Amino acid sequence: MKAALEYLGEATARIGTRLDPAETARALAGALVPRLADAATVYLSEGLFTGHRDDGHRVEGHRVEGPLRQVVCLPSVTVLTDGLEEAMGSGESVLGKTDLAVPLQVRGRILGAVLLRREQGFDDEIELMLVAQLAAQAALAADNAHRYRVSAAAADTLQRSMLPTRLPRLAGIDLHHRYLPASDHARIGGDWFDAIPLPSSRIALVVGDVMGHGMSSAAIMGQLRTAVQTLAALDLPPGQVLRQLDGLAQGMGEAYLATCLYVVYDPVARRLTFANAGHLPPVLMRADGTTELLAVPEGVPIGVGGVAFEPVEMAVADGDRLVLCTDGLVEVRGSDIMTGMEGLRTELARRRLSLDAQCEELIRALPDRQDDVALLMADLQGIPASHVARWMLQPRRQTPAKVRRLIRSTLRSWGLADHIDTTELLATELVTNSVRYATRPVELRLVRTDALLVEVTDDDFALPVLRSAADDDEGGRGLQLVSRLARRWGATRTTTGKVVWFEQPLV
Amino acid sequence: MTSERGLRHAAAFDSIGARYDEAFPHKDGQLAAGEWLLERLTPGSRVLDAGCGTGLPTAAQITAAGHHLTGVDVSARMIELARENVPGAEFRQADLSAAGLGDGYDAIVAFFVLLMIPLDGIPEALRLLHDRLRPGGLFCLSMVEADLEDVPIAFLGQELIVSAYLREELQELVEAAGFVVEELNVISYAPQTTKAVPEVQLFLNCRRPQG
Repeated sequence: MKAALEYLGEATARIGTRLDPAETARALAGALVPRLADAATVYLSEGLFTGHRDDGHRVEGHRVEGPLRQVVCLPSVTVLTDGLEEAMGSGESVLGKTDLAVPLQVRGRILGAVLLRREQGFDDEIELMLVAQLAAQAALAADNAHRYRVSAAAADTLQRSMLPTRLPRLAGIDLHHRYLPASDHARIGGDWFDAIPLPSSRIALVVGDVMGHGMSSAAIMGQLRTAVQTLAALDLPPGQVLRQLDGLAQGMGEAYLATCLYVVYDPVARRLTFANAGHLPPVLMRADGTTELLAVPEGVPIGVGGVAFEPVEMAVADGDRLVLCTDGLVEVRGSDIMTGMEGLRTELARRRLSLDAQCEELIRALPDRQDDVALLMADLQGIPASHVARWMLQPRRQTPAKVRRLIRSTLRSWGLADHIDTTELLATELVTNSVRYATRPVELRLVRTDALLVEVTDDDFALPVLRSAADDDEGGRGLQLVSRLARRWGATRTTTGKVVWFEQPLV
Repeated sequence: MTSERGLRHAAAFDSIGARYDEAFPHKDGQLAAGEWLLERLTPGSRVLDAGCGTGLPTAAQITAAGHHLTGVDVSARMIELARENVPGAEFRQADLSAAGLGDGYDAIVAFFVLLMIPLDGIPEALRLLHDRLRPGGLFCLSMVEADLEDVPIAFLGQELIVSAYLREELQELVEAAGFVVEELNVISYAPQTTKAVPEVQLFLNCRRPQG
């Protein structure tokens, strides 16, 4: 009796700790053969593996799931089938001369069956009870494994759906990223990253980490990421983006705590402006070969409140590489996080690879990973000043004509004479509109990269609306024209007014 | 007698001080204009630097080439910096109309200084500079290209009242003041700061005709 109980204890532990239905089945067969049977075959419902479980059909108070998958045969040459159908149908064990079929059931559902064969037959009552006990244990474990998988997949899907799948391609910067979910699904995290285009060819880079783990962290991450995008689109200075985000987070609830680093890169001025809310500092790999941990103010996490986020600005050179990450990349258990950052810096200083290869190398070098990891790397390439032209023009009746003159001479000097007609036409539409409502000087900016970007900025907050013009309408046709002739166009409200822009491809 | 606008700008540039050169390094266009001048000046020429600022790079460039330079600026702080930067030149805190600046100069440079005076004063300022030059003397002018009439503009944390023209209108004004424009260079310039914005700079290399 004592031996039987010891055996039961060990076998239960083996079966019950698996989070995978197939492994549960193998553990069950392994526990039964050879101790209680010469051969065993385990069948489980297909739905446990695919995630699509139907309600099955009802038989005498049970729900029977199907179709079945034969998961394991022990020994592998012996496939048992005797009694399978009957056991599945009745929900009762079926005992033959040398065969025993036991249904695997949990919470009123039959998920499969274990079939056993033994030359000497099954006549010991204690042994039959042991088999029934282990079968019940296996059914419970398989069901739990399935449920766990479904919720882990949901959390994973939730988190992934809230992260960018690909970053925008922008002039003056080359971006690569990696995101790895936590290896343990229960520890799914709230790491995020983003790259947001701003007016004047600038770009905001964001990396953040919601405190805590699980489904709710992923959901909070999604909300904070959207909030940052909305604030960034207003072109607020970095310190103010974090201050506004902090205010929002405090209003949303106590769980809304996150670290966040917000960086704006201006490829024309070749400057980075950082604001930090308690996040890890970035690493800068200089084009001259040196690699440094940037001294950005630590700040306090989003959601804490009461502390200003002091922005810092620094010059960068073309070819510098900026590395932003979350703590999952540098966590070394038992040691200080800054030791980990210094390790990352040393690792990066070792050699410079292509952007993609460098991302890959960092990820591959990771030791046993617990947390999720977000990594965002940017090669800062700059836009030469000679490819940018910007003017301020007091709004007057003659301004559209002056704008056409500036466009003609500039595009001619850029060797883009072919683009003069369309650009003049579209810019006239935007400037005519600006002159009508602006009180301060209107700004015209031309930027030449792989596309020709034209931006018109004014101090009127009303965004233009694309509508179809009626026959007797004075205005309203301009934007129709812009949307038809430009490759892309858009309008963004800023803190001082708005920017309307359009872009034409340069082949 | 410095105007109210002049006093205001003097105070603004007193406060900007050395930050000006940090925000606007690599003045390649200005150096190129200086080169144009040096190629044409005989040794020991008298040169007036109107709105000399910190003396960099122009006053230093012209003094190093062995010419006698007089620099004027409305900002006391700028004159202080210019004296430190270019010990070999003479500097005075004054505006362009100040008596005692003398005339008969072989060359005058005015880089980004006419931006700061009222729009309706620009033609007169050009004539004044023309008259301080000897016949045949050289004149280098630079301006930011824009269409602005006395508009307050944020500049390195200060507010300046700025006036500017587009290239064609500026060239007409310069010619109306009696100069011949020998070269017009247009340069896009990006300051090394997010507190100032890229601009298009116009460099006019001119001459007061003989006789």
